[in-house]
Amino acid sequence: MEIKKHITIVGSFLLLLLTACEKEIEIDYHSTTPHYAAEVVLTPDNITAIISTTRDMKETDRTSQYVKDATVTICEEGSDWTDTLEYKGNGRYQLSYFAMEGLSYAVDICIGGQHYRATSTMRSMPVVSDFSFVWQKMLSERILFADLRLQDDPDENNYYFMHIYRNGVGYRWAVIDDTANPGGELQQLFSSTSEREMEKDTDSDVLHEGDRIRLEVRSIDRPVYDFFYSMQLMENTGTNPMSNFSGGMLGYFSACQIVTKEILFHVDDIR
Amino acid sequence: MTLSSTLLAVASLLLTAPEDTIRTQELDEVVVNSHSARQRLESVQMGTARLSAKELESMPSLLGEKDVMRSLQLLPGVKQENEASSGFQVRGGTSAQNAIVYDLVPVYNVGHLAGLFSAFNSDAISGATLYKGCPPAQYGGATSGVLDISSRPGATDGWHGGATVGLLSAKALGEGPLGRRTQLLVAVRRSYADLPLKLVDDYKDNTLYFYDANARLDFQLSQRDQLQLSLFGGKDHIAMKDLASMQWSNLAANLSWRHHFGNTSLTRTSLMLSNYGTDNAIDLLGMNQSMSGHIRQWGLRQDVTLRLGPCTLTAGGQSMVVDVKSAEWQVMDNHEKEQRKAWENTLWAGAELQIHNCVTVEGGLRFTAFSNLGGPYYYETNDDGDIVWLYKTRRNHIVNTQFTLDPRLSMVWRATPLLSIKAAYSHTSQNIHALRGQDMSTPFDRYTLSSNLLKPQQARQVSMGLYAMTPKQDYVLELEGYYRHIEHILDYRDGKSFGSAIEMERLVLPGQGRCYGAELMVRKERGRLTGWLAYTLSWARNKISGVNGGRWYTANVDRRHDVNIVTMYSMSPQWKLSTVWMYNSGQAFTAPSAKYEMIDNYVYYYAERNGYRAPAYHRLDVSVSWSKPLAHSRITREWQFGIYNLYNRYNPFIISFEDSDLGANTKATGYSLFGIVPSVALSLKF
Repeated sequence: MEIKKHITIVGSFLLLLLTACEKEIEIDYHSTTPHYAAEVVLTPDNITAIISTTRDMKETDRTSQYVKDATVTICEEGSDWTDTLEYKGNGRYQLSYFAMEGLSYAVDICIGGQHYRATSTMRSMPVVSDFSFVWQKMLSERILFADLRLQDDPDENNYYFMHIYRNGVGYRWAVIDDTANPGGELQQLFSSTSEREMEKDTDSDVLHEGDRIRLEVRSIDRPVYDFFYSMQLMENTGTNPMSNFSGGMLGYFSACQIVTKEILFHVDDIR
Repeated sequence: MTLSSTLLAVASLLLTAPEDTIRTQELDEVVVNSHSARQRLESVQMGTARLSAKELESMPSLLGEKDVMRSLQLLPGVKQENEASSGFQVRGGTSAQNAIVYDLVPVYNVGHLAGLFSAFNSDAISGATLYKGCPPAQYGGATSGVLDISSRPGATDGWHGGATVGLLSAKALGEGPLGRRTQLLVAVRRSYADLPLKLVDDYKDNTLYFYDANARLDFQLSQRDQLQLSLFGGKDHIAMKDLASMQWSNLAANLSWRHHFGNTSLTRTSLMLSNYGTDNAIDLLGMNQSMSGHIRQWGLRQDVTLRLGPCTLTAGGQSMVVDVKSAEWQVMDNHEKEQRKAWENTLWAGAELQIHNCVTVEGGLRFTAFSNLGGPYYYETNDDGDIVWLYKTRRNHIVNTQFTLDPRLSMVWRATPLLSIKAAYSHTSQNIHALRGQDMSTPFDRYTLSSNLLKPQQARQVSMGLYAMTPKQDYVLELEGYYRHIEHILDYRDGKSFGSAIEMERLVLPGQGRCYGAELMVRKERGRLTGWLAYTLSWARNKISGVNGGRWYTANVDRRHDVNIVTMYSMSPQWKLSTVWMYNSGQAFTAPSAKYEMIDNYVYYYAERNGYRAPAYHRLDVSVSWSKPLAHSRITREWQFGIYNLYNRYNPFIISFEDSDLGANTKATGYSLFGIVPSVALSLKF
C-alpha cells in the first residue's frame, strides 16, 4: 500500500529532527555462496536479459559478477517454438522478438545444466497523463517531489513500475497497483531532496539545472509487481525480493509495455 | 442480563451503604510489605518483580519524570525495546507478547511522545508487579510477561496535592477525603513541547502534545464493602499542519465492588472497559491517506479469595467482548477495513498451600474459551496467503471457538531462614496478536485475534531459582534460570509488511520459538547507599516454515548480555543521588551478506534473518534531588536535576546501508537518538 511509503517519508523527516547523531559503523559482513541473479525484460519487439552473480559486500570488482556462459531461451507459453538470446557481453543477452499484448511468455535460463524458469504476461500500454516537479513545505524546509499521474485502464487490475533516470543513471523508482483509484487517475510521488540541500549542493541526490530526466513507466503483471513491491520493502523487512524465477534464481522476468517521457530539469519549472 | 443486574446491585448498595471504617489502603500496604527481602525469599512466587511507589520515587528521572516502565527495564530478564520506546521485552519475548493491565484493565502501546514518556503518571500509581515467569491463575492473555499496575487511593488524613514542572511536561495531583466514607485522587499531566513551537512561524501551526489523567474514587459502603472507580485516559497527538497527523489514545475504566467476609477473605466484582485507538492521516500533495485501528474490550470479572488456615484459595471468572479493528484505511478512493469481534470467557482457580514448615506449593488452572463472532467475512487462504474461500457470517453469532487450558505450578523450599530454592512451571495463552511495523511499538502496530486461521499463542515455561540474603537483610541475591517454548508465534511472510494487505492473516506465518537464559540480581537493601546489580544472559530463537528457509533463526529480540547497575545514595535528608548504568551487548538485526545489480540499483542479498549484531549499547544516567519543606508551611519543594547519557555515548537507534554510485564500499551508518540530555524539574507537594 502507498500509505506505507508516505508514512516512511514523513516519519523519516520527523526522525531526522529527533536524531542526535549519525556515525559510520564497522560491520564484519558474512561470506555467502554466490547466487545467480537475472533481470529479463520482454517488450513488444525485444528481449534483454542481464545475468550476474551476487558478490560479497566488500568486493569492488564489477566484472567478476557477470555470467557469460548461460543459455537463455524464450517461448510463447504453450508453444514448442523457442528462440535463444545472443550473448552481447557484460552479462547481457539480447534478441529481437515479436511479443503481443495479452499473451504469456516463458523464459528458461540454463547455467551449468541447472534450469531456472519464469513466465510473464504482456500487459497493455500504460498512459502517462502528467509528470512534473513540485515543492512541498515540511516545517521550515521545502522538499522537492516528482509528481507522476497515470490514467488507469478501467477493465482490469493493473500494476505499474516507474523508474526515473537522471542523465541516464537510475535515480528513483516505485511500484504501484491501481487499488487507490481503479480506472481513474493514479498518483505517484518521488521524494527528491530539500531546497536547502540544493543550495548547498553537497548531496548526490541534488538535481541540477539542465539535468536530463527520463521517466519510464511499465505496465507489469502481478508476480513482477510482487517482486518490486517486496524489493521496495526489503530495507525494513530484511528479506529478499520475491523472485518469479524457479530454482532459487534472484531477480525477475517481466513481459511489459513501456512508455517513456523525457524532460530537462529547470528550477523555474517547479510548481 | 448479567451486566445490567450487577449494575443494579451495585447501585442499590450505593444507596444503602452504612457508615464504617476505611479499608482502602489495603492494596498499597500489600505492595510495600510484600516487597521486603524476606517476603521475596519466602514467597512461592518466582520470576516476579515488584516496584513500589516508594522505590519509584528514588529512581533516576528522565526529563524530570519518574517512569515506571523505564524503571522496570532495569530489572533482570527485562529489556528495553529500544531507546525511544516504553515497550519492554521479558525473557526473550516481544513486547507484543506482554499484557499490561491498569487496575486489571488492559492497556496498549503505553508510551507518550513516541516512547519518551510512559503512559503512567508515577504520582497516581501505588506500585507495579511484573510476572516474568509463572503468573498466578488470575492473570492471562500473554505468553511473555504480565505487568499489573495498581492505582493509588486518595489520602484519608486530609487533602494533599502537588505539582511538578519539568522541561517538557507538567503535572498536578490532588487527593483527599470527601466526607467520612469517600476518598478521591485526581492526577493530570500534559506535555508542553508544543508551546515553544508557537514562537516560531514555521512551526506554530504544528501539534506535538500528550496528556493523561488518572482518577480514583473509593467509597466505603459498609464495614465489609467498598466501591472503587478507577479511570485512566491518555492521548498523544503529533501533527504537521495540512500534511500529517498521528494520534493514539488509551482509556481504561474499572468499577469494582469488594466484599470482605470472614477475617481475611474477599470477593471482588469488576466492570471493566478498555479502549485503545489510533488514527493516522497524511495529505501529501493531494494524496490523501488515512489509517486507523482500535482494540475495545468490555466485560465483567469476578475474583474470590478464601483464606482457610494455611491454604489460600483464589478463583474467578471473566467474560469479555473483544472488538479489534486491525486497520481501516482510505487511500484516495480505496477504502478497506478489517474489524473482528470475539467473546472471551475465562475461569480460573488456584491454591497456595504450606505443606511443610519449609515448603509451600501454589497451583493454578486457567481455562479460556475464545469465540470469534460473526459479522465480517472470514476466509481461507492458500500457501501464498491468497484468499481462496470467503465465509459470510451472521452478526454476533459464534463462528469458531478455541479452548485453552493453562496449568501453573510453583514451589518454594525454604532451606534455611536465609536461603530458599524455587521451581515453577507455567502454561500461558494469548488470543490478541500484534504485529509491529518496525521492531518497536508504534501507533502503526496492527492487532488481530485468534481465528479459524490463527491459533492462540501458547507458551510453556520452566524455571528454577535460588534466593539468599544476609542475616540483617542488608544484601540479597537472586538467581533464576528459565526455558520457554512458544507455539504459534507469528512473523511476517517474506516480502510482506503491515500495510501489504488489509487481511492480517494473509501477512503472517505461524511457527515456534524458544528462549532460555539466566538472571542474577544482587541487591543492597539497607543503609544510605542502596541499589542493585542485575545481569541477564539470554537466548531467543524462532522457527517458522517459510521464513529463513524454515531453519531456526535468531529472534530480533535476542541479546546475549544485559547489565544494569542502579545506585541510590542518600547524602543527607535533603540531598539524594541516583545513578543508572546500562550495558546491553549487541542486539540481533538483519544485515545483507551480498549484493547484486538490478534496475540500475544495488540490491542486497539477505542470507539469514537477524544474523548480525549491532554495536553494544551503554549509557550512564545521573539524577540529584533536593527537597526541603518551606518555612512555616505544609509545602515541601523538591528540585530534580538529571543528566541522561552523561558521557554522551552515541548508541545506534537505526542502522542503514548505503552504496556508492558504483556499488562499491557499502557504508553502514548508525543513527542515534539521544546524546547527553540534561533535565530539571521542580515539584511542590503539600
